Amino acid sequence: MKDLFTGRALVLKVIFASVVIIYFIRLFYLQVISDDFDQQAKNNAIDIRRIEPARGLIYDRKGKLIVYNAPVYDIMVNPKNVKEMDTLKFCEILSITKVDFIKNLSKARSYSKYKSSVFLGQLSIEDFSKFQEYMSQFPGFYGNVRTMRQYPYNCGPNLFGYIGEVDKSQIEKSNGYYEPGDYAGKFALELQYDEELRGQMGLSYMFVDNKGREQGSLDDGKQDQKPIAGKSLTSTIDIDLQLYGEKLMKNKRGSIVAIEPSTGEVLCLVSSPSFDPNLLTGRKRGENYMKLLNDPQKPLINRPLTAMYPPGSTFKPFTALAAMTEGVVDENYSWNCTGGYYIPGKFLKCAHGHPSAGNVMDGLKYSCNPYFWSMFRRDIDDDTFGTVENGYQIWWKHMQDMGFGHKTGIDMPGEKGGGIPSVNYYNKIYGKGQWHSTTIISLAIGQGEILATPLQMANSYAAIANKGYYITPHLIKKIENDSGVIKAKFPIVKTAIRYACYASICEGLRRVVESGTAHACQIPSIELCGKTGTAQNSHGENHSLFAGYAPFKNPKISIAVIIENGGYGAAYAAPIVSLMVEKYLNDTIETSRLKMEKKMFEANLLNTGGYGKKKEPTE
Amino acid sequence: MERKRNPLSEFDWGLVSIYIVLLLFGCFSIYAASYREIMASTFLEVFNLDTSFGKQLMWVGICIVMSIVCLLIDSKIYTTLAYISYGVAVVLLIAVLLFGKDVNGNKSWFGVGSFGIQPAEFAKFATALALAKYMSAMNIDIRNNIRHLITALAIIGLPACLVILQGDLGSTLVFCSFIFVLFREGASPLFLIIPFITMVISIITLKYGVVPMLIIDAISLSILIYIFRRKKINPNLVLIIIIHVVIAGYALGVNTVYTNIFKDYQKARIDYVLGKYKKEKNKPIIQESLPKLDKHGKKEKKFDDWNVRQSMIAIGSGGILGKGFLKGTQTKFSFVPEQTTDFIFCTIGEEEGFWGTTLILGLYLLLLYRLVSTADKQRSTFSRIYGYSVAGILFFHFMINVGMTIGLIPVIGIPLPYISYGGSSLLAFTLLLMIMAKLDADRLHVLR
Repeated sequence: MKDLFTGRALVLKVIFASVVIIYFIRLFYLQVISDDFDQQAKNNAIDIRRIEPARGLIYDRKGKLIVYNAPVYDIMVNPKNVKEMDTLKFCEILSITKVDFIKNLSKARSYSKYKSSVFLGQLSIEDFSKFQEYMSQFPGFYGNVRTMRQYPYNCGPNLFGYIGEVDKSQIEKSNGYYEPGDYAGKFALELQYDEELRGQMGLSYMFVDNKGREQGSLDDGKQDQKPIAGKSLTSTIDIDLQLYGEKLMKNKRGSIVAIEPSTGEVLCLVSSPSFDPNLLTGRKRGENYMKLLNDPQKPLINRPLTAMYPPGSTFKPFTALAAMTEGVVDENYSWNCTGGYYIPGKFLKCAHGHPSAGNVMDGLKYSCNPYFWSMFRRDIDDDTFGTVENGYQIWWKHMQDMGFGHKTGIDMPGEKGGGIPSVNYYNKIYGKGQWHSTTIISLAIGQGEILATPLQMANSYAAIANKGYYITPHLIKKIENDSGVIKAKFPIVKTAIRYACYASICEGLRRVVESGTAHACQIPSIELCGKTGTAQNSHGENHSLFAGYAPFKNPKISIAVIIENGGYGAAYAAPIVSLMVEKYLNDTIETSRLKMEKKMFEANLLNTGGYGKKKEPTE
Repeated sequence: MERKRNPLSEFDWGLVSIYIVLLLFGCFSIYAASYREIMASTFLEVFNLDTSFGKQLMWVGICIVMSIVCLLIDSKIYTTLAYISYGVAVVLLIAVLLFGKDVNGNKSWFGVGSFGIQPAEFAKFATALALAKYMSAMNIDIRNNIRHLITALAIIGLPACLVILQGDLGSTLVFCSFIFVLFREGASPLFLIIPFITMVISIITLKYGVVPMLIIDAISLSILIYIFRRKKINPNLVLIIIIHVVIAGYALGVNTVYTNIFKDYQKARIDYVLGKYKKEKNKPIIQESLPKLDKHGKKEKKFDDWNVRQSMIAIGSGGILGKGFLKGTQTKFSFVPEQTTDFIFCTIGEEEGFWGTTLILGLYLLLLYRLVSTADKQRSTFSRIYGYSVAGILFFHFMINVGMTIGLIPVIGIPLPYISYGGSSLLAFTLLLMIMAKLDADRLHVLR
């Protein structure tokens, strides 16, 4: 009897002990062996907040602030803290639809359920303060101030680009710097110099409770990292010249590119039609972007770098330089222009009546096509080369040296390289040995398969202005931060043209303006040198071109202007070049030329050439 | 028989020491778990009755007074008052059903100002007294007299039924602990074996489905019959078949109850313990924040394993040495629910780590062993039965509470004795233990 009872007491003790031992083993597993709970606890209680640094500013060459930051507010959401709430009121305050609400929230969820991300971006301070008043009613949502890019001169969208939400490829390329919802440079300078401009993200480690409310910082903020502001850039752009250029180009399609020949610094880069870059900031960005994208005038194309045109007569100096360097002609080469040129089976007309040119200066002055055709044929057909192929190959090399046929290497993404057809290209088209100087004779006057960007034209004229070299064109000259200034360096590219050949070409270009095809565009106090061009194209009215530099001695600016479907080079391109040059060098336009300025301001060429009905002429 | 004596010297100080250590542990843990509340208060406010900690301190004071009272009054009073207190407890349980405060759908509280009183806590204690009184009567023999056994079961069952009507599943389960007492006093071992087998069948049914359970049942029946034939034993085949049919019926019943009667949150809790939630690293540990609408246009609540996951994260992240007093983020920042009451063990696990939890386990085991040994020493049946009742009640509380925080038992709201915040339960557990200590101290002097 007694034994039975003690036995039973023992059973109970064993039961107690078993449970305790099972729990002990379980606790040993949870607390000693398993190690993923620690991280889970941290994920719960520590919220890593990223603090966006101020993006670098951009100044123009004279120190004017041309890109800066203004504060805007993002509504952030941390999905794990979102609780039941008055969604209707929420949508009303932010003036969004319920569909937007669900869409944005599920987007944030798909990014991360525990981490904060942007719910609604770029609210103005007025809109945000309305939200802030009710913020406590919407758990999981909070405001985050960040900055919005401002472009105070309302010009140069093609120059600056814009800031936008990073896409997947940018996130991948940034080596973990960017996270979805971040903003990064998307185009042009903002993209090219994004790494310099963006600075270094700051991190702050906050304790949060189960409702996502901040509960002080981890280790009293000892582990926090302060954001480092982005570096400021000094651009080579003269913002006043850029503005003036955009004004001149209003209601026209085309480009102006101006370069300082001695440094390769780009002074302006006008793409027309243009728009206010501030359209691509703020909440309406997407809407505006679609409008611009669908605009038949294609304002989003960065024409100076990506539109490719036949250079037309502006190309003639290079034909002459190549021929003279190879010694097949000298500056006194003459051609009796009979108003045309015979090639087997064809008579090519000269564009206009003019006296015969007795030397290369007058050849340029009259822009005589037969003069350069004959010179080109003499050049590449010369006996010393053996075959046309060899002759053309050498000519092709000269053009490459002058900056044609390949990208110039400007510090802006998306540049196109234009095109000078290679020997292989012609061999493919016509068969090896089946093509002759007459086959490709259009190249001599910048027509045919040859294509150049406005930037290439301005750059090659800088090489003429420098008499033998150009410096890779660039848009940024200084990168500065707290610790100092880094001067941007860009390589010099030398041409193989004999130095002696430049004098006569320069003189010829001077005469073009003094008494030649562009004599109407003389600037009283400045010796402008340049060459008109009228590029034929299959899509309508000719393109009006002018490329040149000024002053004649010690050039300060080389410039190329293309007005799509603007007719003769002297009609629009030359006057615009002369005004740009005068504005840049003298800062004012002489009274006598104000009439011309007014005419240029007012000219509207948007509807010439049946634009919009036909294909993009340049691409 | 009465002699002059010093009641203090005969008091079981070992029992009281364990009690005090647990109480201190509890106070510190409540302080840590309600640290945010405390941070928001001034120094003096910490000790007033607006904070959980302040209230608990007051209850500790009351408990000390009550302990001294227990110590001083004649222990005869407990035998005398056993049935009366049982009656009062039953009346209170009925009253609370009618007039109680509704807290989370359970009607188990009487509200008195900012305090709540839970009659169920006192019912356990009163039942222990009544059961001891009944079973210690001279002519009662639960081993051989089935009517006596049924009466004993009825004494336990009445308050248990009233408690389950309140929706308080945890307290109801605690009444099962009296089975230990019946077993100890000679009831059939089936009282332990049948619940155990039932549990195993339930687990198999819920974890692997009803069909595998039925197959196991059928196989076991075939094997048994085969063995009996082979060995040419002639047992009661009908009985064996009936048992297996009952098992099959039970399995089906469990399945039906689970799918049709249990609420979603109960299913979720059970599923979690049975390991039906897959361990995914990226599994969201949040409750669905935007509730979906069901076909009636009402908000459909989704339940998951949030509570247990947070509880286990808290305990698991404590590691060996813990994060240090007041440094637990899981508890301090309210990730763990009910952290001062039902989930107080998390605070210990997180801040004190493995050594802290091991200490608690050790203290409880020590307490239970001491109680059982003390009970066995008693000359009076009343004291012995009462002692086993106390041990059983404490064991069930400990097992369910700690088990749920470490994910071994479905979440059932029940306090951890002496540690959880809560005046009624602390007072009830204190009285439970102190009366045992008093009975023990008097064992040499009083014959019951």
